[in-house]
This record gives sequence, structure tokens and C-alpha cells, in this order.
Amino acid sequence: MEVQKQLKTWLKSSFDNDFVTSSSRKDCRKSEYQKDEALAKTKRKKGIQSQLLFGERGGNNCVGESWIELFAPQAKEDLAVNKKKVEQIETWLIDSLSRCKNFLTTIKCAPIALLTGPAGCGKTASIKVLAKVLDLDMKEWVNPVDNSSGLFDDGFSNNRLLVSATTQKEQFVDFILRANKYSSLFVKSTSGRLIVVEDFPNVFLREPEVFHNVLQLYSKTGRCPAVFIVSESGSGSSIEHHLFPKSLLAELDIMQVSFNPIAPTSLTKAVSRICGIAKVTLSKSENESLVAASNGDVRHLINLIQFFVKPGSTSRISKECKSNSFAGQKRKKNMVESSSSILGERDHSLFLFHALGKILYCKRDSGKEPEGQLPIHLKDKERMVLLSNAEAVFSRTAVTADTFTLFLHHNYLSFVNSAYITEKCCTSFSDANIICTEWSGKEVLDEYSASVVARSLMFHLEEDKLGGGQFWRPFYKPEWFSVLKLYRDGQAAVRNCFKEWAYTLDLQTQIIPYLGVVQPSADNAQLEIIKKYGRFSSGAVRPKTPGFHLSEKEIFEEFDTHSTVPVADPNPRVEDTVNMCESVVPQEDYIIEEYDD
Amino acid sequence: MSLWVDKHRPTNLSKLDFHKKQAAHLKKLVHGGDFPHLLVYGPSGAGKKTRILCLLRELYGAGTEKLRIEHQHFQTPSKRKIEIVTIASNYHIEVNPSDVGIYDRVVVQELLKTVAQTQQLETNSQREFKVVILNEVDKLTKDAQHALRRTMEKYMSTCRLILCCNSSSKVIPAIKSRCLGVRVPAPTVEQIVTVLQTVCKKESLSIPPELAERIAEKSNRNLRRAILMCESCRVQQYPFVPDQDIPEPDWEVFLKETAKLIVQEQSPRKLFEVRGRIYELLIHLIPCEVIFKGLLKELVNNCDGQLKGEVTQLAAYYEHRLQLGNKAIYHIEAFIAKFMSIYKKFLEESMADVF
Repeated sequence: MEVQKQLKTWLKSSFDNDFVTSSSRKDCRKSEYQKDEALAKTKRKKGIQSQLLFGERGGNNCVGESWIELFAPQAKEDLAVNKKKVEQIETWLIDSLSRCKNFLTTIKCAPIALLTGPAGCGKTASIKVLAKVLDLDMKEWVNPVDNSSGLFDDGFSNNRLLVSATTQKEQFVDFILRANKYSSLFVKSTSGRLIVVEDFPNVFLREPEVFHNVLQLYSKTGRCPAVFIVSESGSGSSIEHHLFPKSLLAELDIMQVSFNPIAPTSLTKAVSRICGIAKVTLSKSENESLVAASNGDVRHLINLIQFFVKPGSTSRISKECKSNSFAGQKRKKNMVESSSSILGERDHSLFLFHALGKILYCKRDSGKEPEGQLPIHLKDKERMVLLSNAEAVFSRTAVTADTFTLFLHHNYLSFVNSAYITEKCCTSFSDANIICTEWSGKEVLDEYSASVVARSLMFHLEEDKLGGGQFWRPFYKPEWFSVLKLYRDGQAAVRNCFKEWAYTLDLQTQIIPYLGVVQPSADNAQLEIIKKYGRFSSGAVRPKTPGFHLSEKEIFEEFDTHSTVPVADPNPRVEDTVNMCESVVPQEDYIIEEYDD
Repeated sequence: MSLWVDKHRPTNLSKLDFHKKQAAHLKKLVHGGDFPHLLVYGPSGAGKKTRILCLLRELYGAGTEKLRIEHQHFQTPSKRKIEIVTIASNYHIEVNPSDVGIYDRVVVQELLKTVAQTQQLETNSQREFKVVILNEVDKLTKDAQHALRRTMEKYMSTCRLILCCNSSSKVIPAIKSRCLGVRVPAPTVEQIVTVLQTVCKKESLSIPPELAERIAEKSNRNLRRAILMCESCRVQQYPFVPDQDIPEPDWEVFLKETAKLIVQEQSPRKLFEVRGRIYELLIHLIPCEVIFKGLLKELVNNCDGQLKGEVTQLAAYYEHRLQLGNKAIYHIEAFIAKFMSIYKKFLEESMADVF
């Protein structure tokens, strides 16, 4: 107890002059990585030994041990990542470290790097290896589980009350600004420090502006390189676009390195490396099927190997040690076949951009003859075999059928040249929309509707000889949602302004256009509405641009298309007595009275 | 100053300008003491609303003209708060349930319940029922219409409904059979001309009969439109000249231009341009059905006699789909694409015949 108290006072005094006041202790976290590594090392040694000696039953602390940690790359040569990418990061690190050393003279803003790429392509692994090679003190931000976790609990309840809980955001700011100033107490002097953030506090996803401010602050005050790692995925909201918009990248001079899924050859090498360490032998076909199933994801690959080698409770290694019987081999074979279906390929999602391309360019296999010949009178319906299956493409995009069709609808016209084919494509959209109108079957039929559209486009676009993939065309986002929103907002606004007319339809089509010409003494709000919606020349509400480009890795966020409730009245619950007599007939017997209930 | 349309609206059943026989029937109905639920339908600008207001006045006297605007709040079963504007007097309440979109069922049920549960205070001097006017009944969802059917019967003793809509075809038969249907046909051109002349007389203006006739022709037998046109003519140029320009709403001009584009060139590129223009119309709050109707009218005018039937049939087919579906643009565009293809084929064939 005494020691803890001492520690606390000591800590506090040391940070008194810091401009971020906080009672939470961050430097514990700084050392986490080092501790982890040391632990992992010992575990690694123990784990491999015990595993090799006793199978998995022997080592008591390596039962839950994942091979990903066990066989993490130790040197640059071990990395399965493209050499050039690693070099790029390394030169950046060395360069920024030297710049940071004499920061008073040369540095303008702190070096920040952003690593993006699909999950399991070695982003974190490369940074960890490089940090080790360059002998850097790596500090990693880990989201605290609980806001009060950083507090000292000395057992006195009243002391607890005194300490105020800090928000995750404050803790993060605290970490990032302090980690670059003070070196860790537990580590001997290293050649530099490196901040790594992989886990973003949730607050920032909701308020990206706050994160931008933190970054700007860091860029001004930071003295060591910071690396941000973002995994991109086809589904969910894209962190990359939220947190690191293009303008910010340019402003703070952030270096972006985007990783690609790892090539099969490097994966095969990784498999052989791991097999070498773990003393496991895999046949060539096994090797290939594993690599194919992993879809360029190293992490997934290593998991697969681990899982594959030890299916269920019986370890394959021990089995091989025991006997090499015929039954065993047969089982092995079955395992290989089932591995791709049971262990499964990694579900890799497709970006909307690529999915649209797959449908609209509809590449066909020109070498293969179509299966089954069509009779003579249907010869014009014959098509080459498709390279990609429409349903598979749709299911791999993370959007609803509605959105998918809208995107196709908005973009297909630039792929067609003839009016006759346009007609055929266009009717399929109408058909698809009709299919999924029935509310009860919507969930099932939605997929069918996407399929109808995609298939019909693929079929008809082929007929249009110029249509298929000759030149590149940009994709745009559909306007329908924004138009619909404007339409509804407009209706609500009109309804709000012209309460005395009960008919909305006639109001919009007849009265407002003419009011624009006649212009009786309407109030300002009404005049504005009339100008905006009644005139086509002056009230240009729709943006004149052809549409918003859909960038390659963008993720489309869907609108709430079902909200039909009008926008809330700015001053609701006003029992307003609109001057009906003024607008109806100026006669004495039309008395307006206050309404009171 | 208010619009002539409102200013010169007749307030008494006996002062109505046309369909006088029907007005007399309505009067008799009121004097009979009681009346059933009414379903008033007819094209827009035929005087449905005027007739309903006159009827109310006949029922309750001048008290129905003391109007107030209220905001009513309801909560849907999914705990969503909705708000709707109602126009009410002490004797009646008027509401447009389709304003709240898919939540119209809640409005119909709750509103009727609250109105019907409060009794009139002096039953001997007043009627023992209140009147609820529901506008745009044809736009109600099927759900709301079915809910209405039950509610109508339940509160028959304390409240009468007057349903008002353009077309009775979208009202479910169950409701139609519970109401007395009153069809208000569009006025004839001659009737519109007389109305225009009386309105101008009241405004102490003189309108040349030729101009009145032209306005009446151009109004598509829509009296509201005719009076609005007349008033905007007055703003643009007075004294009137027989051949003066009659202003049309901007959106109609825009729609006509769009139709011209379609006839000019039939290509995917053009279709894309037309799509943009349809979005533009939607943003200017022109409903899809109106766009569809306007397009058909213009396109039919522009094409050859033998195509007219086919095009109209297509339009009916896709308009029906538009009602069923939820993304109007698909259906409008499909219709336009179909038209383009038919028209292009026709042109090519007739060209081949020439050579």
C-alpha cells in the first residue's frame, strides 16, 4: 500500500507541468508491448518445445496458444509482404527518425503514416518487424476496456470518489501527446520511439472532426513518427474515409501506404516457413488448397494451418508419429477436400465499384464453348460463358438489392448504344422493382430482383457490340435518394407554409406556379417557397453537376428511405390562427378567434 | 389581397354556378335532417371542396367559417411521433391523412376516435353529429382504408365523414358501399366562360369573350386553373386583349420540352438527359403521376395515329406498375425507353417505305 501511494505521488509530480491533466496512468501501456513481447518469446520457446514433445496435451499453457503469435515474423525476410512496400515504410521511418532527432531546426510537422489494406495483409506485422529491426521503442494504443481502469484503487472508497473518470477521448489525446515526449522507464535507451494506433476510440467514428483536431495538434507538437493502421473492408462504414479524408492527408503531409492482399507465391513461402518451424509436413496439394482458401490473408492462412494440422482433439502430428496407416492417409485426403468447404474460404467482400464493373463490363470466356447448343431460331440468344456469376457478385457486395439496382440503373446507360437495347434493359428494372413490392416476401425476393437486373444487363449488353468493356467509364452515385429526400423536404416545407390549403397535390401543381405570377401579399416564407418550387429558371434546386463520382474503395451508406414523416415544424404546438379571413374573403362575418381548449 | 379563387368562392349551395340540380339535391339532403357518409369525387378544379363547404354552411350556419389551424400529435405503434395539421371549426374538422405517408392509418383511427367521442353540447339547436372531412382519400394506403371502414360504422351516431378524392377507383369497394357517392363532373367550357365573366365583373374588369374562351379551352376544364390563369393575365396585361398571352405554369413548359427531346432523338444518351429532367421535375414537387400523365399527353400529340393506341396502352401498363412499385423512376424510364424504341422502329420503317 505504501509503495503504491508513493508511486502515485511520484507520478503526479512528474506530470504536473504537463498541459493535459489526467489521473490515468498511460505509461503502463507503453510498456505493454515490451512485456508482451518478452512473454511471447518465452511462450514461443516453451510452446514449440512442449508441442513438439507432447503434442498438444503436454504443454499446459500452449493449449490456447495461437500460431499467429507463435510464428510471427521475426526478420524482414520472414515478412510475406511485398518487398517494395516494406522498403517504402522503412525508408520513411529512417527518414522521419532523422528528421525528428533535430526537430528544432528542420521539422515542420510531425511525420504521420497511414497504412491501409484488407485484413491480414501484414500491416501490423511489417511495422512490428521494422520497429524491431530499427530498434525502436514501439508504443501501441489499446482501447481501455473501462473508463476507470487507469485509476489507482488503493482500497479507500473516498479516494475513489475524488478521482474523476476520464473519457476515452481524453485518454487517447493524453496518450498520443504524452507518449512522444517521455520515453519509457522500463526499457533501456533505444534509437527512437514510434507510436502505433490500430484501435481507434469509438468516439472518433461518430465525430471525425475531433480526431482531425487531435491529429493537427499532434502534427504540431509531435516529436516522433506515428503510424495509423486501418483495415479496410467492403462492409460497414469506412473508417479510412471518415478519419482520414483526402484533404487532411494533404494538409498534414501524411504518407499513405496501401497494402494489397498477399500474392499466392509469398503465401506458399510463408506456409513452408511455418511448417519448417513447427516441424509439420504438408503435401503440395494441401499447401495449394490452403493458400487458395486464404484469399491473400496471412492471418487466416496461419489459422487454417493450425486448425488443419490439429483437427478436433486428435493431433495430426501425434498421429503421424504413431502410425502411417492406410486409414490415416485416407482420412487426410478427406480432410483436404473438406478443408475448403468446412474451414471455408475466407469470405472476401467486393467493393461496390468492382461489383458494378463486373456486371456492366460483363467479361465472358471467349475460349469456352457454351454448354448445350440452342436451336437455330434461338441462335441470337446464345452467349459465351460468363466469367463471373451475377448472384455471387451481388452477395459479395455489402449493399441491399435496392441500392445495388439503383447503382446499376444510374450507370448502365453509358454502356449502351442502341435505343432498342436500352428498352430491354430498362424494362428489366421495372420488372425487378415489381417483384419485390409485396411486403411479405420482400426479404427473399429482393435478391431475385437484383439477380433479374444483373442477369438481364449482362445478357443484353453483350448484344450491343460496343457495350462490352472497350473503354473505361467513370461510375456515379445514383441521385434517386437525394431527389427523394429533396422532394419530401419540399413537400413538408410547402405544407408548413400553406397550411390553409388542404390539398397538397393541387397546391403544388396549380396554385404555387400561379402564385409566382400573381404574387399577392404573401409572407416572406411563402414567397421563398414560390420562388424555389414554382420557377424552373431561378429555383435551381438540383445540383448541376452530373453526379458524384463513386471512388474505387468507397462504401455506400444507405439512406433511411422509409421515413416519410415530414420535417418537424420549427415552432410546433403553436395554436396559430392563420388569417383565413385575409386569404379567403375579406368580409365582416368571417371572424377569427383564438383557439383555446 | 387574396387570390380570386378564394375570394369569389360561392358560400351557399344556392349560389353555385353550375351543377345546380345536384346542389338542389344536396340541399334537400341536408334539410331532411340527417345524411349518410359522403364520398365526393371528381376531377380537380370541378368544385368538390366548394360544394362541401357550402354543405357545411347549410348544416351548421355561419359558424363553420370560423376556422382554426391545429397541430395534432399522434404516436404510432412503433412509438414514432407524428404530427399533422388540421383545419377545424366548432362543427367540423378537415384533415389530409396522406400527409403523413405510411402512418395514415394511425391518423385516421385516432382522429376519428377523439372527434367522435366528444358529444355536441346543445343537441336541440345543433345537429347531433360532427363532420370529419378527409381529403385525398384515394391516396390513403390500403391499411388506412380498411381501418376507416370499421371506424366509420362504429362512430356513426356522433360523426359523419365526408371523403373527398379525385378518382373513386382507388377507394376500396367496402368504403364506397358505405358512402353516398357524389360525383362532381368538370364544368364545361361554356360554364367556365360564364364563371370567368362573373368573376371579372365582380372585380369590375371587362374581359373580351374571346379571351375568356381561350382561357377556358386552355384550362383543361379545370375551373381553379382557369381563374388562376385569368388572374395572372390580369397581372401581366390590362386592359385585356383578345389574343394576349396566357401564362402556363413553368413545370408544364418544362415537361413539354422534355417530351420534345424524346421525340427528337432516341438514344441512351438522350434517355439519360431526360432522366435528369425528371429528377428536376420531382425536386420541384411535381408528383410522378402528374409527370407521367403530362408526358403521355405530349408524346401522343407528337406521334402518328397508328402508334397512339399502343403508346397509351404502354403508359397505362407502366403507370399501374408505378403505383405498385416504390421507385417511380424505373417505371417512368421504362415507359420512355419503350416509347423511344417503338417510335424509332416506326420512323425507320416509314423511311424504308419511302425509298
